Amino acid sequence: MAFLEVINLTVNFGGLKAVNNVSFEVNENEIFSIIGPNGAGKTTTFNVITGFIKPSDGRVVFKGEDISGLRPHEIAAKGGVRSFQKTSIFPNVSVLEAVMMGRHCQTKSSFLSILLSTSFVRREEDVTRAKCLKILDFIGLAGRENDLARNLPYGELRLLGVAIALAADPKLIMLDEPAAGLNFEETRRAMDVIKKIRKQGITILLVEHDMNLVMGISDRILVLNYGEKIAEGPPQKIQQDPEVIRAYLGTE
Amino acid sequence: MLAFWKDNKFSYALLGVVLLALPFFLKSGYLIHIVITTGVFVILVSGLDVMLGYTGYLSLAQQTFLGLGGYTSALLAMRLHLSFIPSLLAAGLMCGIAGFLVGAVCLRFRSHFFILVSISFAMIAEIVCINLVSVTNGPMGITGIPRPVINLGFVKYTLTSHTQCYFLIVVLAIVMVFLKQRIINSRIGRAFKAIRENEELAKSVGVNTFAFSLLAFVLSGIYGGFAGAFYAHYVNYLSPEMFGFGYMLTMLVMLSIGGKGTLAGPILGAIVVSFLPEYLRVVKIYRMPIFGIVLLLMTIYMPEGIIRSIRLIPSGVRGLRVWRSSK
Repeated sequence: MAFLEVINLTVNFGGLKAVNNVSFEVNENEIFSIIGPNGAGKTTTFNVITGFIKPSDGRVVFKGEDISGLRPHEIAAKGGVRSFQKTSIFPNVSVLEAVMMGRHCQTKSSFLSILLSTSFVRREEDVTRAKCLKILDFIGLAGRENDLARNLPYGELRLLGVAIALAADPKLIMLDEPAAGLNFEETRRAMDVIKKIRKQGITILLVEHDMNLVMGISDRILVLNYGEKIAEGPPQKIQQDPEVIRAYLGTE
Repeated sequence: MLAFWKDNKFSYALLGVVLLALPFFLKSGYLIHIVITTGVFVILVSGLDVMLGYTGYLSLAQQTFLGLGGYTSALLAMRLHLSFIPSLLAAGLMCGIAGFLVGAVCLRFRSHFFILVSISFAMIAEIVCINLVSVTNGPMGITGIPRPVINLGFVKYTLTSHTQCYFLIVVLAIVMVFLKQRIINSRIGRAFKAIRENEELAKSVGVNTFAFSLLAFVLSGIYGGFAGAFYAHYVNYLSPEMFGFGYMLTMLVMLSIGGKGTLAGPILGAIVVSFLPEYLRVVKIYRMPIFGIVLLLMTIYMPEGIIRSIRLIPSGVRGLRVWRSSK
């Protein structure tokens, strides 16, 4: 049984088929990338898996459980967490607090115990803070914890977005164009972080335009064009696939 | 200096002494009255802040909870002869339930639609209060509401003087602000802030944004209910005016002057907006225009509120020093 199965997924926006009958499987602890020209349906596929869009047809099965139609926070609680294409963080709080917000599902203090400030609540706060500092250290933002989140430089903002997603203890992390707008050096840093995340036993689903990054770290790649699957396989195979080359470069 | 003030137990002790001594230094009953209404507003605006300052939803129905809490508590005290604390808690419960119902409808709407739906609920409540004469006595209002009676079983104590009511509202306001602090600095407060900062991202890390926005709505209802209940017993009189939009505007001004999403903001805002017009009496008929201009200037130069502006002073001083040394 695959870790994540997408079966005959179709999404219609009015008359437009954004995603048309796409199926694929992601194995546990794999780095799986979805690529394709603009408007190919990558982000739409992402939005369905994470519950932000309901599929018109087809199913998403995560760890053997049908999650199609669940809401985003329910999918997050099951371990499927995403980052966003545009820089998506909590801007007006400290970096540490932003990451702590990501730990919502991992903290259990009840309303009443919070009012009474029981020892459980205080211990949980300490544990959460320590864990989030560790995550910041892991992602390479150590020492930034007291800065206002929105004051970070662009490359670090993207990393903070990933740190917030990591704080939710994902089994499957879905990164929507993590290298968008990054320079060469920052892209390399992002690549290292993605590899490190995989080493933690987390499965990674990637939507990305940067071919160096995709070809460099993916185990397998899915290529979409006009909402349809045109190829799937390891990077070497994808690079030589005539269908893929035609989609990217156009026909003679 | 601010950090020293904040972390120092001495500062809390000083604040305690000031609050204890205050009524004995205020010469007129009128000034104590202003202080007491300030206390009521501290609770009200703190409740509004849970909603607007932390989850970022602008609900224009906060005065409804003031009215509902007042009427609930007053009627329970008059018809069922409940003492102050049970009727206060009942008013809080009533407003919590009302907050749940109103919130469950309002939160289906986004941005300006949310605001409009919340206003319509506030208007419905006002109309019901005016027309439900059998319960509320309509536009005539309710008179002769008993003063707060603290019944401890073995001893029954009626708070008759301004000074006694002052101590009651001080205790109430401190408790409510204290509880707000605990909520805000917890996972619940972080969930509220996550909704304000980025609702999509909040969802994607597992925050049930609807449930937590609703919780914030319920909490602001309870705060409003407590404020209303105290106020009803303190002034002994209630009219449908309690449901009026004027209170809502006052609260909004206080919150934006003081600073949204802070603990001290609602307190400072309530104090400034309550006392500034009183101290402007020296300028006679120009009082209200000058008050308006002051508010306008504060909005322009302290758009984030007094609290955040004060917080900026240390970095401003540092910046000034750097600027000077560079010259």
